[in-house]
Amino acid sequence: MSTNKPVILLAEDDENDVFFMRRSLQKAALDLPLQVVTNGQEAIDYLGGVGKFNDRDRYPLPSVILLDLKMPFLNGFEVLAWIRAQCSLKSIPVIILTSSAEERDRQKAAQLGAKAYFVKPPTPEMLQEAVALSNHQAAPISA
Amino acid sequence: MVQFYESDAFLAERVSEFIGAGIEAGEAGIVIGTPAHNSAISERLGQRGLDLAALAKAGQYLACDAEDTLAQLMVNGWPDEKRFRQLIGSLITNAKKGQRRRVRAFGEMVALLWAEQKQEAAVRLEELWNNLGETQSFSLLCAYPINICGGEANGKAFDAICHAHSNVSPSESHAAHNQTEEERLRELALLEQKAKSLEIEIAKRKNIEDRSRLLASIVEHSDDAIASKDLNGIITSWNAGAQRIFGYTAEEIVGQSVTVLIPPELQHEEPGILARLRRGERIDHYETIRRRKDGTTVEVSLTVSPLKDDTGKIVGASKIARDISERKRAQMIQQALYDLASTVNRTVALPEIYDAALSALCRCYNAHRAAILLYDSGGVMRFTAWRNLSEEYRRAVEGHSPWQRDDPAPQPVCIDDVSQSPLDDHLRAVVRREGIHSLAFLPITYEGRLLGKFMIYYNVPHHFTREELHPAQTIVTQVAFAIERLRTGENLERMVNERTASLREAIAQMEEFSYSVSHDLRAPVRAMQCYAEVLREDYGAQLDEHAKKYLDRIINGGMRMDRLIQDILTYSRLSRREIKLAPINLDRITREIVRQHVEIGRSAQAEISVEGHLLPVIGHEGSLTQAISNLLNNAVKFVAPGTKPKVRVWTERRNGAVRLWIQDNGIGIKPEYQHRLFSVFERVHPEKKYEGTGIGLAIVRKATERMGGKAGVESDGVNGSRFWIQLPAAEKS
Repeated sequence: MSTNKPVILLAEDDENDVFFMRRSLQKAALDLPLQVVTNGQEAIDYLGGVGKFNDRDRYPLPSVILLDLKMPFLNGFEVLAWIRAQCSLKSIPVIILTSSAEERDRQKAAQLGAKAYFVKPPTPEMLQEAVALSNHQAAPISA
Repeated sequence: MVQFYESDAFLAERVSEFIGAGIEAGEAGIVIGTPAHNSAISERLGQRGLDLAALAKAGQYLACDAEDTLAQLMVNGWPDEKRFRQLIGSLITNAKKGQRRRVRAFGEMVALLWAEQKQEAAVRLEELWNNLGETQSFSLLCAYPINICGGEANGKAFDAICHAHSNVSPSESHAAHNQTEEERLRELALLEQKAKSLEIEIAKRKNIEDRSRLLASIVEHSDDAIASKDLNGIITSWNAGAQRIFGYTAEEIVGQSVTVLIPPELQHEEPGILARLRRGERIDHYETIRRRKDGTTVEVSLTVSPLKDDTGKIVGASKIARDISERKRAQMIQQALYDLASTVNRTVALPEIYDAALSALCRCYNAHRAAILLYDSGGVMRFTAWRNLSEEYRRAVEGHSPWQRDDPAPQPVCIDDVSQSPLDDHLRAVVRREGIHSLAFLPITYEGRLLGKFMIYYNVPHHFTREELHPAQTIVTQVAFAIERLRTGENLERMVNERTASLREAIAQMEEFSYSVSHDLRAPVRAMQCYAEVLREDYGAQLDEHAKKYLDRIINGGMRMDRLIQDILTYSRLSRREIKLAPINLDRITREIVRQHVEIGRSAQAEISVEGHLLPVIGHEGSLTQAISNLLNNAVKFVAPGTKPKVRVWTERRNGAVRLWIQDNGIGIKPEYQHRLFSVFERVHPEKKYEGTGIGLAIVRKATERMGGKAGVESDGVNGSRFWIQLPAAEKS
């Protein structure tokens, strides 16, 4: 798998939403590799390289993370807080992608350091913004 | 006959009756009196119709001056028998002339001697009269002013006078046989004399006796102690009241010093009292404490007055002591009850009230110990507050009650003497070990419910009376009322707290539910919508027009569902969310809303004009934005097909409030439907023509109400509508 293209990590437990994400990526003509984890714990395992995720060729560190909020085991905020506490991951932009239009969720996401807050369904415009955010980052992961 | 008299008029009346009746009966009358009496008598005799001048001429009436006549009888200050017989004897003999056998005489010569303090001479003169009576028959009326007969000194001579009159009375046996007419008449006259004098003497003595008996009875039956003492403080007399109050009998106390009645700490009082007495001062209502025979004390009010002898010398004192213990106790009880009542009114802390109640009990009853026991939640009567009771005692008797809890009318139970009470042996032993000899159980009830009991204890046997328990009943009532009042308050507070907590919990649950709704409920709706769109995009070429139209309907249905969920959430949040009111720049937020409307294309075709500067209001920005936004949506939505929506927005001042108007050129609402407009899910236009959830205006009304305002509409159902929101003004006009 090429490491030149920015990898998107999507944490999403609803397979419909995973489908719509893939479709939106296609429609946006963003041929980006998409890694999917289906709950908060798995997201942390992926990012921490735990178990099978230790294989960084297969599971490379992402250049942008899209987090659903409502997920089994650990929710999006818990994952976000964990990411913010990891020095090695601090630079990866995290975007919340949720069905909640709640103001309090928006505020909490901003407090915890999310770069953007998107309400589902994802649109090509949202994804372009996400890619733009990832490009802003220095890319230590590609080194 | 002796006539004592007090008033001259009476004497004149009496003598003229005596003489006048005689003359009228053909007898002769002789008056030997003072000039004043003589003239008064002759005046009265004249009034009877007697011609005194004619009578005197006929020798039937004779009036002589007593002093002159007496002067002729006296030799060396002593009545001379010879002169008496000559002078008086001849007067009587002359008077008897002319067939007149009887003579009535009135003489004041004896009284004159008496008045000159010549008692012995007076008695002698009486004897002479009596002696004359032995040889001549006549009726003699002697007169003595009663005032000259008083006093011890005159007593003997007085007795002698009375004796002199009765002495001459012939004996009964002598009178029985061989009496001449002369003797019988004389005897009658003497008996008359004797009866009259005795009658007067008896009446006089009886009067004196009655008065002294009355006085003695008053003293004896007085509730007050009445005693006398000499100037050394030695008790000289003692009444029954004194015995009742102090316990000593008269035999025990008379002859002792009054200091036995004075408690050791007040012994200094007596010298002061005696000193004041010697100065002739009286001591009135002096409140102090005295000691009874049994050593207990009694509160008394003393009145001490000096006693004087005949010469005016102070020889001692009379002393009246009133037992004021009851009055003092009543005062103290009143004060104790007052103190309790003010504590009950002032505080909301039950322990403080219990303490005040125990104080009141101990003060009212002079009790050694007291306690309050109340039923606990397990139905056991437990010590709640107490005075001077050991832990051992409390542990041993706790839970004991003389009443069943459901007793509808529990009565006080008094044990005057524990040793003679029907307590079981164990309980009696515990009570005695504590040193308690008598106790009372007083039920604490409120509206027929037994709450607990009050206990009063004494270290000595004590006879409890019904009257005595009255103040305790008042204390019980006060405490029962306080307990109920505060318990009710506590219950109420607890209830409010519980309800508030459960309400908070319900709100939190609602919040969670809303969150789930917004997140989970919308997910499947969105999935349906998205898949329908995917179907149309990816497989549109394979579908006929019907299939495409159905897909559109699926997509529209999904959109409506999504909006509905959003609106319901908004509405329910408005109902329960805490909002903070603040001044709002209505002009700024309204213009912002209009701008956004235009930007997102909703009102692209519409012409919205905000007129003038909108006045600031007091409200909540989020809620107000929502409300204005909904009204603008409606204003541009409900227009007839082909009509360009025109909306005017302005404010006006109304009695301290600001009314925001939003007027459209839409289809309007008929007045008969207007009242339904602001309810949830109410639509007055068919869904088909004007899509919407039917919640928009309900949100407007709810939002304005939460901000302390109101919302309404004016429309004739033809020429558009004028919706308004009214809120408190942020600026004074």
